[in-house]
Amino acid sequence: MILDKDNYELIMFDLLEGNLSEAEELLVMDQIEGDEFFFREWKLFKATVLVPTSSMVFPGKASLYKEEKKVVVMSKRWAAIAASVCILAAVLISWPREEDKMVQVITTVTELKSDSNQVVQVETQKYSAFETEINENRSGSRGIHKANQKGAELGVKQVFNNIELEQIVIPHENMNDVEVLVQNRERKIANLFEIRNAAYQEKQECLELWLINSAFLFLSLQ
Amino acid sequence: MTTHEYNTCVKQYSDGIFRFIVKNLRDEFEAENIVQNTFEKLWVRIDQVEMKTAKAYLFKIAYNNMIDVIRKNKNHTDLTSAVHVASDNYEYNNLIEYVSMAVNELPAKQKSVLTLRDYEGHDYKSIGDITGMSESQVKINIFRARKYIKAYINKLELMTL
Repeated sequence: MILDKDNYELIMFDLLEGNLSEAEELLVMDQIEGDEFFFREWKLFKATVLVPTSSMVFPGKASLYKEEKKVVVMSKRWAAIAASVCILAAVLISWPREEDKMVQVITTVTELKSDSNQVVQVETQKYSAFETEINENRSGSRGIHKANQKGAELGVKQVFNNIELEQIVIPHENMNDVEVLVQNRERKIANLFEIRNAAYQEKQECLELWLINSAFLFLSLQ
Repeated sequence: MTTHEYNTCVKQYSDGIFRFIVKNLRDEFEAENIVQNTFEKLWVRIDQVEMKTAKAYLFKIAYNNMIDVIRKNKNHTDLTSAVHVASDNYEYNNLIEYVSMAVNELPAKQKSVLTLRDYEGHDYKSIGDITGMSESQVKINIFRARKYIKAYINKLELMTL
């Protein structure tokens, strides 16, 4: 690569732009330094490189920025642990307890008492407090209760205070069926189921809600 | 591209685009508008632009906006050229000022490729992507620009001797 008057501008341009190999650069630089004309031309070529003025900045930069959503950084492992803890806590909190069942049964009886004096619930084996509650209230219910203790059989109709009653069994969550004496069998069975289901449904929904929330939390952390 | 990456682009490239436009248009107000428009367009297409191509994308939008402005203000450019021809007789001792004057005299294409090359360090290919020229066209335009500036400096130096 020999510099002459015809090609020196192209070669110097390539040298300036970094388009030559290291060996070519050395060869060209030797020729430039050895010739006054080429040396002056090379100085002029080097002067054509524009130097950016760092002081020139865009004045409206602040208005271009957009607000960033804050992201909570958590590793997958910690997210999984947190979700597991949430689910476990939800299950523990929502797990049906013995006291809850008693409250539920008493609630059932209270609802029934406000009805038309025709239904009494008897559940003697497990809920003694409930039995007392019944006996302290209406005379009709006390009588029915006593009749039941005397050995009323399932499906057998009995008459108390001139009211014909029938003993039926309501399946209960704690596996101890609740025996109930009803006048209008279909209506009262429906009522009892509604009351019981409402009480348990509330607990069930609470548990489901926790599980759903935990699942959402887990997914959102992924 | 995420919002964070968009903000990174603003931080890294807004000044460079502004300098590039000001150098080519010599109109800071117009340059500000172009930079604003450029980043608005990026924000609208934030889902379609990747971070690695964002720089070329931004410069391309800015360049196209600038070309539109140059076409609209053709009379304005002619006027400023006349002003600079009239100021040729002034003495400039500073080499940077000579170069700056020479750059202002360059045709729009040469000025654009040269500023992209020297101010922003783009290679021939990315300059080609931005301006729509082939790599060889980019190289030729840069060569002609440097040759013109060299001759311009040489002429002024001889005049001041």
